[in-house]
Amino acid sequence: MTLDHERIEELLAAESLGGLDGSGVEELRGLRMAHGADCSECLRIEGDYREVAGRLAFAVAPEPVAPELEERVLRETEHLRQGPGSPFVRVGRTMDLLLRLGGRGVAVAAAALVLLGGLGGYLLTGPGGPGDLRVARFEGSAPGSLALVYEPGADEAVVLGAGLEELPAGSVYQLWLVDEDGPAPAGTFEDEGGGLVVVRLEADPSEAGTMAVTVEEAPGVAQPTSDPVFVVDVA
Amino acid sequence: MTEPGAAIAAPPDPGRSPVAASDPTDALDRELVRRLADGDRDAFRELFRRYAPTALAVARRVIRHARLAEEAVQEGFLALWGDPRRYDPARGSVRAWLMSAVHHRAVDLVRREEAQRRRATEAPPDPAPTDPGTTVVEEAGLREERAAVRAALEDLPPEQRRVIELMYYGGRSQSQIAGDLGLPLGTVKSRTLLGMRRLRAALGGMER
Ligand SMILES: [Zn+2]
Repeated sequence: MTLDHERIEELLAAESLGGLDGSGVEELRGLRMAHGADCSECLRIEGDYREVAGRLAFAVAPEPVAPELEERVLRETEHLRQGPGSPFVRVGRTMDLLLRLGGRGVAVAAAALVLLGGLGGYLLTGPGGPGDLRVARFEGSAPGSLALVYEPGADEAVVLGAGLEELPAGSVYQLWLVDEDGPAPAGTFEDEGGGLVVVRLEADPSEAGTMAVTVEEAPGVAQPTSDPVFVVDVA
Repeated sequence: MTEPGAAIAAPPDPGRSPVAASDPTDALDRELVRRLADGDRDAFRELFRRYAPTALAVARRVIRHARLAEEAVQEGFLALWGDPRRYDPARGSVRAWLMSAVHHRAVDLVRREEAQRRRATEAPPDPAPTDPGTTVVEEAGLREERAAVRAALEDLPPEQRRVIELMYYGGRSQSQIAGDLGLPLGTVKSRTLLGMRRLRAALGGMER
């Protein structure tokens, strides 16, 4: 535990300053998962270093903000629906967590959700009350990574993707829920160049047992026309 | 292990957290955040006017690109507006939360931008003006905060301070800093940790 804490503290200190690169982010995620994502000592250290890092901003002399920027930001508040129920906020929150951890790997996003209770928190506060939120990574033969965040028994899950290959025009990634009877379509998505993909499912993937992703040239096909590029077993 | 300052930098003391609630500036800010939850745009404007000038200054140092720096500020502040519960009062001050929200976006943008420039040779970003020539008038609480943070930084052993400044204000990663300064990565890591422990003790102490 003590050894864990020394290493985790070192990583958290750098993370709070934005100094971790991808491998550091992965290492921190792995260590915290193994050590216990809800360890109160780790959360306290993390909170303290974030506080210190945030306050370092005040060593810099403030710069005048153009009135146009203020106007632009205030105008946005008129269009932006507040609260975790709005789709923008749901995606924005995921993005926020991802960016806060300073990485772009989907494992980071998934860890962030679990550690910080972002989208995970949203799922957990659903009608079913607190449950056991799980994260499963897809195995893939294509570039990029995908993770599934789900709660067994809940008819809601989220697929997070990062670094996926941009597909030729007209092609889409299609999700499949696979059970003994074979694959059933579970929605399509594209990487729109934002680097992060968030797909919400209204299904319980643990009932099917497996999820797969194929690349389809025509969206909305009833059966896969090619081998899966990503697969995950869902317990 | 033989880092200067190692002997004096104490490990974190569980009883002394910089996450202090007894901070008059923060008490005001927390009230503003509470009002955000009711869709109060005046409260949002007040927070923006108080903190955007600092957030912008930091973002410009990190990104050195005026437009992208503004984007980081915009996104950071709107994240709080979009869902004020993102700020957890149990974990720190509003001002540190806002600065972190903007800083992390700035770092993310700079890393992405660096990656893009490696792929395609593009024009380098505009340098940020180092002296905008105008001063921003601030309330007393923030002037004290600036003095305290600057003093805490100045008290760091220079080699720790250098690493922390390159990382936080320069948007450099630990491995980039190791390359920049010709130091082993392990040295950069230990300087970061020792420096942050000292800052944590210094700033935590101030607020008690
Ligand atoms: Zn721990």
